[in-house]
Amino acid sequence: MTAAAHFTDCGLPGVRQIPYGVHMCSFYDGREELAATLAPYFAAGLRNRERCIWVTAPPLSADAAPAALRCVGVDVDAALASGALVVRDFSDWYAANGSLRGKDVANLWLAEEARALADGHEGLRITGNVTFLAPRDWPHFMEYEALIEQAFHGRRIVTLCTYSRHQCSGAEILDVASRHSCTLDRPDEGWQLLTAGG
Amino acid sequence: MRALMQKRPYPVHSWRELLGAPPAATHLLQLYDDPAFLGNAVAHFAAEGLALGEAVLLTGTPAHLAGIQAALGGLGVDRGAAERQGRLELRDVQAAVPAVCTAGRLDRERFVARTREALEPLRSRGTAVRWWGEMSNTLHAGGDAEGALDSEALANGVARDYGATIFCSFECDRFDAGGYAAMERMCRVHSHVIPADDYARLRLAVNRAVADVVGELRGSLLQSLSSWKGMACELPSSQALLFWLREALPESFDAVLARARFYHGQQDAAQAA
Repeated sequence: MTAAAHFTDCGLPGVRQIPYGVHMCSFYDGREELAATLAPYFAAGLRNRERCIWVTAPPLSADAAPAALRCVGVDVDAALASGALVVRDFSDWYAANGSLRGKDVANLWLAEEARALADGHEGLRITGNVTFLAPRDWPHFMEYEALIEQAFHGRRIVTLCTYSRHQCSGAEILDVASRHSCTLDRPDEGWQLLTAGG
Repeated sequence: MRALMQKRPYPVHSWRELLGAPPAATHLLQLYDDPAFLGNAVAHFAAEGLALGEAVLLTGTPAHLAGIQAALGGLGVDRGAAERQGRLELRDVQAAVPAVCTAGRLDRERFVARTREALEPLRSRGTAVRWWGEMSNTLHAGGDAEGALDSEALANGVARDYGATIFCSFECDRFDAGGYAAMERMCRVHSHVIPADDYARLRLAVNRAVADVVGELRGSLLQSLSSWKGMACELPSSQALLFWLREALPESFDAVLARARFYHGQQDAAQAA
């Protein structure tokens, strides 16, 4: 395996290669900004022959996500038919997998990674949007994020967790940023990766 | 990016878990403005240690030790039995200060010698040693701020030799900008910081204050916050946010603290009602 195989294309203008195992976060305002982030992210994943799993939540539903992908030139029907792309609403996804939390969910993703590799994919690319979280669940979810940060390190998984700005005040931004490898930020037309300590 | 993957996340749980089962070789700091919070936290730290078969040394002012003893009683700890077994020892910090100072300043050699004398016998009396103290707070209050910081570094070194976990209490007003330089220096010589009795309450007050004074954290502020190097100690994100604000937006810091004090007090009033 070459050194280049440890990296993959992020898909967002301004950010080129990202390492497998990276666990990124991003803060968005509204549905359009969310779609503008995730559609090119998954388009790059499909180009890189990764299995892409988009777990949706409001404001962008599983019904609306394919349209966002078509806008960036993805042949959604073919990707869905081949199993390269899976788009599921969070309620369906978690219902299908039981009421899993913490380590169980991390293990579920590791099993998905193994399946993707066994099916001939280069890796697994996933996203989760957490607008469904109730404030009382925040501490548990932050535990899960910390666990994921450890569990995915060195794996062939690329993760982007999206948080609504309206859900996050200053303390929550610090909670989230400290549990991810880096923060994706869009200061202008291009994107940049922010890491602690600059 | 790799270095960041090893960073410590801001804790989201209460100080009770941390003080109940502190990670090995930790040096914990409590910021307090209410003696009742001090008494409850230290009693919890001591009670959990005693329950695990550890030896506990408490070095505080007579008033604080009295509060801690009362709180230990409330937790059902048989203090007399623990003292008879030699697993619980209480010492008066004010009596100890002259023994570790020369000309009113911390004497490093004397401090280390006294600390070793105190910890050595405890090592064989329990499965591990827990030590709570307020020597640095006492030195700081007495005007020896540098000695206070020195004592922390020295205590850390000695405690490591004895495998002891140290817990310190430092009196301060977390909503007073004037005290932040000292508070920040004190935090930086500890591994974990407990800034408040109720983390959720502090978070709510700080978030609301920042929103009022600064507005939404986006653009360059989000960049600054997301890429902030942090404090090199573990502390809840609400307190970390205040330290970041002091660095990033010093012109707004006083106003944010004033609003945070207001909101924190409002919650007090709501609870009282």
